[in-house]
Amino acid sequence: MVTSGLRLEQANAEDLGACPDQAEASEPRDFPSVYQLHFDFVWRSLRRLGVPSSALDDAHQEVFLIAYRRLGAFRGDSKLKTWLFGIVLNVVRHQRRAGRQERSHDRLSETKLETLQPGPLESAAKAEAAVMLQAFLEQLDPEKRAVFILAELEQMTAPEVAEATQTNLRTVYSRLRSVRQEFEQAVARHRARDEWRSHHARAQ
Amino acid sequence: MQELSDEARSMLDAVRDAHNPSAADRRRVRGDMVAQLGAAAVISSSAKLAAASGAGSATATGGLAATAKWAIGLTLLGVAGASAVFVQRHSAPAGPPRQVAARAPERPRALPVALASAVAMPGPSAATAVAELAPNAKPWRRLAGPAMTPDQLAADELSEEVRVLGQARLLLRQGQAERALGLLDAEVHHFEHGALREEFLAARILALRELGREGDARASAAEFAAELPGSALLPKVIATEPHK
Repeated sequence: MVTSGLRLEQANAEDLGACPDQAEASEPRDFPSVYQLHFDFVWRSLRRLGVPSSALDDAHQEVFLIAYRRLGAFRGDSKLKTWLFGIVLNVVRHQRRAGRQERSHDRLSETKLETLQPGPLESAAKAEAAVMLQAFLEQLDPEKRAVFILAELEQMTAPEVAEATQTNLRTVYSRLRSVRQEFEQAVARHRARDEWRSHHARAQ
Repeated sequence: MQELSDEARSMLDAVRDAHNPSAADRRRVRGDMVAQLGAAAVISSSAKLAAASGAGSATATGGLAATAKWAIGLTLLGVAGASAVFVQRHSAPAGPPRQVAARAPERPRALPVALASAVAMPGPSAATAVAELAPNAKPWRRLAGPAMTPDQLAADELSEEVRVLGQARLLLRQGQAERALGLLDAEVHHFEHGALREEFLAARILALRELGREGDARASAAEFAAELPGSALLPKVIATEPHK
């Protein structure tokens, strides 16, 4: 698998100010294809951006209804995925402004309930890691969260992240550097907690 | 720039799919979208797109099948207002209409039911394809090849079902009910657990009626009603008179 790190390193300092990759000619532009190909991406982006389960269906539908109306005006200057993420960000901002978001701790509780019910093939450790990730995302400011989601989870290049978040490349790198450090600290805390639990489990 | 440690990256890799929708989420949300925009605007005519999407999981393909089958069945039976039935089958939660529903699309909707073209897609005769295969071999599996992933296989199965059903529909429209019935009889067992089983059974009943085998048609319709009492195709299956 190509790691996000590798992809981002491809966009080195010389890329500053460069345009994002042009959309591939083969990328389907008809709405049914866009809907099907990017259904999951929009869904998980909304969840990662903190939209609670109770509002997910509406938010997802709103994103695609906007995309449906605007697809004809999409010029292909960017990839559809980054274009869609721009719509996702706007829908999430609108939800926040409209006060439709639940309180932060409610969202986190809800996420815990969902992710702590792993399927038969999922380990408890994986479920705990998912909760840790969600908690980490929740406490980030929206700008850093978007950069982390796109760069580290969606494995986009830095220029793509800049395009999707409508920020310049220097800002993307700056936010990414900062959010990586924060994630390392979160992982270290998670590991320490695991070790403490394991130690006490053995001692009992 | 400082990269993530191996430990941090491994953790991300392990939970990268943690926020993906479930199969039930996909079905529910897609159904709501179909209710908003109509089947033609939402459903891709290419079943193989599901395999190409990467999201493609058997569940995603299943979601496609669940939605697609109604479009196909209604197209097959010539039922008008397919979208209306979609709304019933994939009913949105009760309550006031959503704000977004009031917005009129700026782009024109796709004109035909997208799957109509898939149903009528050209290709070698299904009967010929069946005849060339060894007995008891499932034709679509044989055609799929051993290297396909489960996702691709599921999409390919649906594609094959659509193709055979489209062939039967074409034969019925051409007045070749006997050939249509032969094809359906040869194939219906292969698709016993297929996404379009309901549509296969309904098409077979229509073929029987076209042939004047009213007794057989009634018996098959009774079996259909017993097996699939909630089917949206049931009224059509019971009421359809021969086209003669």
